[in-house]
Amino acid sequence: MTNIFGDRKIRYWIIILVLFGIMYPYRQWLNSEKDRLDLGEATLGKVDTGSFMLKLALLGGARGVAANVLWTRAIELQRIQEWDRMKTTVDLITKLQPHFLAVWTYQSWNLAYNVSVEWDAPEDKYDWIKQGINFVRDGVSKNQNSPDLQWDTAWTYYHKLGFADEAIILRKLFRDDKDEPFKTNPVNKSIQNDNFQVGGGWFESAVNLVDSGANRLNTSIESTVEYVDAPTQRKGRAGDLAFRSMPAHAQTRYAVSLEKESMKDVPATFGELAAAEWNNALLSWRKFGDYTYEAPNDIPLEDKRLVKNKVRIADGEDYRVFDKMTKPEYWQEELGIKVTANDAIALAENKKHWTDRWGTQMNYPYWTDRCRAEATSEGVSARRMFYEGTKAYRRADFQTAVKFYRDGLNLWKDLLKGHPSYGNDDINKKDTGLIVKRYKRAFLQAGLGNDLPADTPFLDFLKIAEADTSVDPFDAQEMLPSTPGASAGGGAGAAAGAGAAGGRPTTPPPAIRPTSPNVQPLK
Amino acid sequence: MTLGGIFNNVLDSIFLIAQADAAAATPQAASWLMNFMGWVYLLGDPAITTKGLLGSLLTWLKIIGLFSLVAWIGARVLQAIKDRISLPALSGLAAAGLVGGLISILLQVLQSTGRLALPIIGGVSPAIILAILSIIAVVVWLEATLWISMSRRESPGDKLLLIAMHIALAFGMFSGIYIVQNYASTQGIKISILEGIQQGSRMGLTFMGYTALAMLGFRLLQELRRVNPIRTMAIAWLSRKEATRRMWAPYVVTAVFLVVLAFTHWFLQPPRPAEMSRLFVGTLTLLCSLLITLMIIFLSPLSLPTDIQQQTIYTIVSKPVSRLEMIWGRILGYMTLVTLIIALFGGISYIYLIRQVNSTIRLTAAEAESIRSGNPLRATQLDEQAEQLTARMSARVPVKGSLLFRDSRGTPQIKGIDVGQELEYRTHVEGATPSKGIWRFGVISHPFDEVRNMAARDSGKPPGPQQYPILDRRVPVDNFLRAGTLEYVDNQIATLKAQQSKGVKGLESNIEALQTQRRPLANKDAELKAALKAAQTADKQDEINRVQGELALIHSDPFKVEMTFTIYRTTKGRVGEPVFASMKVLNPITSEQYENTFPVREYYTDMQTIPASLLVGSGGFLNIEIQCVSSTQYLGMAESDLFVLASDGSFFWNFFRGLMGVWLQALVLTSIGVFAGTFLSWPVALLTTIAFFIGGQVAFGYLQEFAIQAQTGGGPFESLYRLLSHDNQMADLTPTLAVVTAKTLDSLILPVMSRLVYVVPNFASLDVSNSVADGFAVTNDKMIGNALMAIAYALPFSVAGFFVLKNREVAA
Repeated sequence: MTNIFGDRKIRYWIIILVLFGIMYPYRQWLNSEKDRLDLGEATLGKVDTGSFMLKLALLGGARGVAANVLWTRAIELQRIQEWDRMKTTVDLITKLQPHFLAVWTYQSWNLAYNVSVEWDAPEDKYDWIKQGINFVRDGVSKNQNSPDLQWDTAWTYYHKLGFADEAIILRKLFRDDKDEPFKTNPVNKSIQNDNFQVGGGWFESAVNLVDSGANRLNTSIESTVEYVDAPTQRKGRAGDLAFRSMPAHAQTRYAVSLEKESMKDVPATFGELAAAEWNNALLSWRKFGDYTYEAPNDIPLEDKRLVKNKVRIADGEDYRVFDKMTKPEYWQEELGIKVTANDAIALAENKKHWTDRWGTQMNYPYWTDRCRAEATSEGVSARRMFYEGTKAYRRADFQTAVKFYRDGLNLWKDLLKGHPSYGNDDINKKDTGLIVKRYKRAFLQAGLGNDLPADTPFLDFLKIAEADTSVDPFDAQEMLPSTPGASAGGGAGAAAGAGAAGGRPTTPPPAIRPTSPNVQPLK
Repeated sequence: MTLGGIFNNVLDSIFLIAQADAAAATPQAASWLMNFMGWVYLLGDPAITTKGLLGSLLTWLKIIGLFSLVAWIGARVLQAIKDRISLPALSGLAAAGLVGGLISILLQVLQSTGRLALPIIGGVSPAIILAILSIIAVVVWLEATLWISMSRRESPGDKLLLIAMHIALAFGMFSGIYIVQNYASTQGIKISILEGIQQGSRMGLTFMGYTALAMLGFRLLQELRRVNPIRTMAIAWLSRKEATRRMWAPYVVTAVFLVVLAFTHWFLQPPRPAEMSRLFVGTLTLLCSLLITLMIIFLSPLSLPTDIQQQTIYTIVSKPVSRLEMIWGRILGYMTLVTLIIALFGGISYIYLIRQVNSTIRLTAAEAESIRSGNPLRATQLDEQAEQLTARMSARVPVKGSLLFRDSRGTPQIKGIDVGQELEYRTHVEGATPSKGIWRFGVISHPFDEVRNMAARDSGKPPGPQQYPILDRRVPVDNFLRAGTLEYVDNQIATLKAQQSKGVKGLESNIEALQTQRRPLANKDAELKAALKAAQTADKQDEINRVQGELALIHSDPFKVEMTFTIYRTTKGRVGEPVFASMKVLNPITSEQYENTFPVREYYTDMQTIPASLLVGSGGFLNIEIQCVSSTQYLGMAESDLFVLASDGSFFWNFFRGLMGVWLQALVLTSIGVFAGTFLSWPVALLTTIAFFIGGQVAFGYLQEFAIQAQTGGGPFESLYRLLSHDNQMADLTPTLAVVTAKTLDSLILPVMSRLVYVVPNFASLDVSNSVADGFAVTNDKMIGNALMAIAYALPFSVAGFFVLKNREVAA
């Protein structure tokens, strides 16, 4: 009998079958690993074919090399100011390595901050910021378990659009943008016209992601990297104070910007809506305050056990809760252990210390108090009067301006009596001082006397405001020259100054700006 | 330029003396001798060349000649070795020469690294003396071997050639020494005899190269008589058939092309509509070029070795087929295939491109229209992007001026203000100061001269003599002035009057005739202008349009100036307010002016139209001055940022020219591939072709660094040492044994490697797709230059292939 293994073909078949047999469990394991680490290429029904094809073409190992070459090329293209080609190159990198989070984070920041600043016209800047945001959002869709990327998305909406020097124009461009997916809030899925709302939604989404336990701090790709100085402060760590405060910040910003002309040619909003948004801001802060953090230190009990305190920032609003805590029964309930009376006092002290410390660090009392004050009808009315006063001042109607400012300041004074935390804060002193400053100007211009009456409220804040000559970049009333006769916040009137037909003015600036002879710039 | 001039320039360049006054350099020798030696020097020194086509041709001949020389000597020596000419004394001499050379290099390295201090003997280092002795030993061995071999083989032709070479060497040697001795001494430079010999041997070798080249040329001519176009075509046909049948190459390439094209939008999403055409033209040309390159890399070097291996070549070599036909036939066959494929790819790409871009333009414009009322800023931006895209889909012919600056104090400068940007290409003018950028058009002095002259004129002194060449940057006035218009006639009159004032007689009647022609035009112009005014006061729109139309008929169209400036802000300024630039166009002959102020949009092309009347009587001279109006802001500009748009050519033909670039690349690569196939086995031939391509496409800059031996961190061995020892590229290395060894090996290998740059064609420079993508016309000059360059590589490679194949026993 001839040996059947002597036949070459049979031998090959056997090798093929054996290899296949080995490969099958390996693939099973590989797929489960992929699922576990969320590295699968296809989210159901949505296959990134371009990425898949590129990876196929560059068979596995060469991907890293190709990504490196592309990265170097992108840097060079940026140096020679070839922005569009740079963006295309960066896109290719993410097609090669879509799960390498640093690429998304770094390059979206690069596009939104570094590239946009190179372009002079605000609408071009806006374009590049949008490129940056869409870039990181693409990253989010490919790495759905990363709170980091969601937070980066939120930050760019919130900070780059909302805090830039050109914020009033960028926010206006955002409002007028017809791109609905770009303006969709990821939490409540509604289309919103304010970047602070959308940004706030993304912050919230990032926090929710952490809360839902999908706490992917880094990908498997990065975890193999040996950092010289390992970044322990990853965004999205469950105890990260700043991380959790951002939804509330964004909501507060939104409420603040509602009550000014914070978008060019868009009038401020008051009334029910403003009050409601301040209430929402308060809710957001409450949610932040309600979260339980773990204190970093261990408290040694009398029986040598070590325990950690749980800290809730909102406890700081009412110190009476700490009195309860000096009793051992409380700790029996919270920690489930028996402690002595001394232990209870030590624990209560420690808890109070951290609650206080973190509350102050996050300015929690200020924000909550402010939200409460601003949400009242008096608060909204006072803000409206300041706004109307400024508008009147800009159209050189000084009598009206004086009336608005005076009434508003009186209202404000009465309101702040009940809100010491807010009233004594430096930010409020500066803001209110600015109003007093404007009031003084209007008062003098109206010819009502040489100085403000001594009973004017907040006169002591005037000095602070006068020492500060910077303008509020988030208020078009301060940023843009006033056009006499036109209502500053009235939209149509102010738009005329910018050339109604073309958007950007096409005539050169005259040597002297056309301001009303007796109107001083608002500073 | 006179020959004497050439000679002076040539001498200047060897001794690096910047001659302020050419007359001072006149040597005492007779002028005919000087002229003659000038030519000899130009022809003989391998590193010297002159401007224009002649210069390129000379360099080409010199390099080909030197390679022919090396090839010829190499072939003869190999033959001698095969003939077993080995005299023990001779071999000993050769070995001694080689060892001596090595020791000499080692000594030099030791000396330069400070490891060894050798005494200087008679002004010369012993290492040099050893080197000379070694060279003499090797030369003696070479001479003896060649003579003995030729005597035994009894080849009188070769002997004759060898004699001719010696005469050439002697002539070169003599001229070199003569030139150095006679002309260097007049410059007051002390020259050692060694330098004379060095110069002499350089020139001698070049002349020997010419001799070898002449011989090869003669042989080639003999072979050319045997080349039959029909047989060549038959071989071409066969290669094409083989390529399609055996390799399936065209089908594979076309399939890949179509697949990639179908899914382009997966890889390419232009960030902004304005950039779309640029991205697509670039990518499509790249794709076409890559696929064709791949196809050639796999086809051309494989064909001959496979034929030889499979012995199918017998059927051809046993017939009266010239070896040259075998090479050229193959090249022709592959190039036919390449032509067909490029035509196909080009056609598909073009249609795809036009469809995509036109639809993007349409969509962008439509989007702008739909949001104009709600979001005017964005609408204007989209309009401008659509405009940019349209501009890029043409073949603009720019007329570039010469740029110089005045700084913030009004002092003339060759460059503007440096604001500290990393990219130093653009320099800046400061807003609301006398600072400006001035573009001059016409027959103008060099900016270096002009800056000096402007400064002199500013301070009331007479301008000095010109030291730099005059530039011709004239505006093509005739392009812009339409015949039969007022400006056209005015321009003719002005030209004739200018001639008259120079003393040309007999122009009165011509001027009179033109004046008669002008009168009715001027009358009609005055009439229409009055009518326009009346219509404007009456506010009749139809009437205004009609009169304006008629006015346009008797006037030439305004011409366009395009510019792209960058903005550098020192303060934010008022939010949303652009930076303004003012433009002044001046006709320096008639002093007519045009001024305008406009907002600058960074990274966009600003276009201004200038009335054609500015060109009347200008003779192509024009000054354009740009100032920044907004105070505390800066405008960045470089010379090519502003140009007069001479014409808008057709994008189709420009795209075609872009594809021609790909075709030329393919031609060069095919010749290299076929050449490699003549003497290498197919895997090696394949790798060689790939190496050539990568060297010429990706690593050409690096090779150039090699050629001038300017790499930081030393040659390959020193770099390897640095890599292994973690030393950076700049640090001086301690002369340890390893370092000295590495440097010695580098000194051996670098001179050889640095010559490689002449063999590797600069593939990247044949690629003109960037101009096409940017919407600039690829000029005829550029195309001809590229074609000549491609031939300059393709021809020698194919001929070299022929000689190899001829001397190879393929059917052994």
